[in-house]
Amino acid sequence: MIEVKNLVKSYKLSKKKMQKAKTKEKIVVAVNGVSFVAKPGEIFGLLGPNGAGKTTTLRCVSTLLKPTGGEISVMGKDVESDSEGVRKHIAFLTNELKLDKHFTPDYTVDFFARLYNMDRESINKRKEELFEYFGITNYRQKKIGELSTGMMQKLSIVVSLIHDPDVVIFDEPTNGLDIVTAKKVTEYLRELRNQGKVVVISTHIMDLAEKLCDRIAIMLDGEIKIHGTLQQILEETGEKDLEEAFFKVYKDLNPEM
Amino acid sequence: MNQSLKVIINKELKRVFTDKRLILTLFVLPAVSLALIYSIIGYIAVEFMQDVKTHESTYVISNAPAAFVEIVDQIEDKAIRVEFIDNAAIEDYKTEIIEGTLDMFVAFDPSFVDKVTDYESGEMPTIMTYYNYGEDYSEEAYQYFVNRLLPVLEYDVLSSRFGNMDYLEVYNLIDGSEIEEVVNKEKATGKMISSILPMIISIFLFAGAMSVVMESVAGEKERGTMATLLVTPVKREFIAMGKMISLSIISTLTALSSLVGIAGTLGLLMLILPKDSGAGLGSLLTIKYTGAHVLQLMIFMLCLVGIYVGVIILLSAIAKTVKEAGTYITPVYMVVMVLSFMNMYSFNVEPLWKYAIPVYGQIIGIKEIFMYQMDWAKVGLSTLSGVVLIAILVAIIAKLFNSEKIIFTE
Repeated sequence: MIEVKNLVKSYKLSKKKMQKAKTKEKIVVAVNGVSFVAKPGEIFGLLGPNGAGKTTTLRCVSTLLKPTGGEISVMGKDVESDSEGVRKHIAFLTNELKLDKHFTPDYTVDFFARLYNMDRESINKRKEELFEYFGITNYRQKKIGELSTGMMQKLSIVVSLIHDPDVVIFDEPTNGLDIVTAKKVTEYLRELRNQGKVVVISTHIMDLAEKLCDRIAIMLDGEIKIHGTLQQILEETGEKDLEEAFFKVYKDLNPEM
Repeated sequence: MNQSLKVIINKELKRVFTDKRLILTLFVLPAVSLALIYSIIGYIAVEFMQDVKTHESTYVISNAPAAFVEIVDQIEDKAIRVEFIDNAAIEDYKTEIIEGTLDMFVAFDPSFVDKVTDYESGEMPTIMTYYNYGEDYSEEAYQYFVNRLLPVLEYDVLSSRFGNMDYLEVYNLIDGSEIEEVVNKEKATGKMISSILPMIISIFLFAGAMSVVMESVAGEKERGTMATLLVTPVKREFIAMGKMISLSIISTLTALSSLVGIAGTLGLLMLILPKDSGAGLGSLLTIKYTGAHVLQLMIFMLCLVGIYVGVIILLSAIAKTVKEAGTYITPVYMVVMVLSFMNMYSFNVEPLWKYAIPVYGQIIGIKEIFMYQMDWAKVGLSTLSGVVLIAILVAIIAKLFNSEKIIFTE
């Protein structure tokens, strides 16, 4: 389970970044008072436009960023005091995480599996299973640099899941994927949910959130404005679908739109 | 050894040793290119010096006294061509000297013999020399005239003036160093390489580390592969140590490749140069070091490479790109070069405390090994200072790998 309580994350801006962002504020608050719970056996989605604070929230949950305020626990472990313990339980995947193009998929998966202290038998079993599911088996001995973009992304997913984590956090899981691969990924996320894993995704794609997520939190300007099941959100906003509901929340905050 | 540490070291080594391009550029090219480049430079330099020495120097000498003409006639050790002319003027030969068709013009005082004979009057005869010191042949002709021909004339004049040249001898200077065995022959022999090798080793170690480490740390950050590693539960200390150990091994091998290149240069020069070329390379073959010397050298090299790799990892971790890392590391490279050059011309035994200065201590340590004056106390102190600095660097790098600014470049 993931429990996020009143998460705050702010950054100090350098002069260069202040100029780039055209602001005079030295501190930028990326996430402000975010709280949510993601439970085993469900897919929890953070929905929002670029810059809403989704990725920052997920990075804090994944221990890659230190929260400025608030508390986060993953499978009962605190992200700050036991970051290594948290990392053992999670799979975190984002477009920014890349694999060395010189190595083969076979070696790369072995390498990461061994960093999770997996034994040879478990590595082979899990690797075969994932390679088979994502269609990598025939490419396992090719260099990653020779693979297609879609195949590389599928391999990144395999790498992140090799240790059979309890918690799966995917930042924009279908970004840049072709429709076949995207479908494969979303199906796998459902499969993980069915296995009782905690699955958290961030997305700006309404359709994906609507079809995939059991509970959704709409994030705007670093805050969760509304959250619940799709039905609860539609009832609360009085709209027919998620897109309409999102824009209602958005317009409430930006009346000039 | 910890499993994660072992896995990271293996991966870093595999990254290099399974890449033909990297093997070629890191281990083969330095040895081959250095051996070839320095051999060609050395060969050309020696050939050039020999060409100047064997060149037939041409002189026009005005109003030469008969005694001097006779001296020139008896010259056998160098090919010279001399034209003796009475009352010649420099104006007539200026162009030839500038163009290099004539090496030197000399004008003896027309009353040279009279003034030499009547030396008690105090009036000294003049010998005017004209040569183009921008031309090597002309410079050589001048040196030969002044240092080889004129001393013979001077000897003749003084002999006839005093009747016996022995009167000019004031004392007998005898070098008894060899007889009484006061020479530290090993140190004397090692001096030649101790002035150059510590500097070369230090610079090659840094250069070798620079190329590999920047790519492995800043390059990994730039390509996003570092973040993938940092998402795993591996302790940052193990990532830092894994990088340090593997990159130190690779950097040492790169530096050794360069040293092999230098050794190859000596070998090639000995093969291609004539034995009487005077390059003095044969004396290097008489140098003998023991296993203890090799062990001491390895200890110092490991300390140096550890420090260099640590500093470069640290700066590469701060940088967002390989290019940015290069701008941070270049000034450090300059400092290392200065520290390395500082020791080139000092051959005295350094006080013990200097061995506690990281980098400087290791460089003077290597120098003293080559001069056979290293002892284990110095090795111990220098190693201790090196290990302490390396431990501090590992701790800082591990802390950096935990920093969000280091994990993500944006």
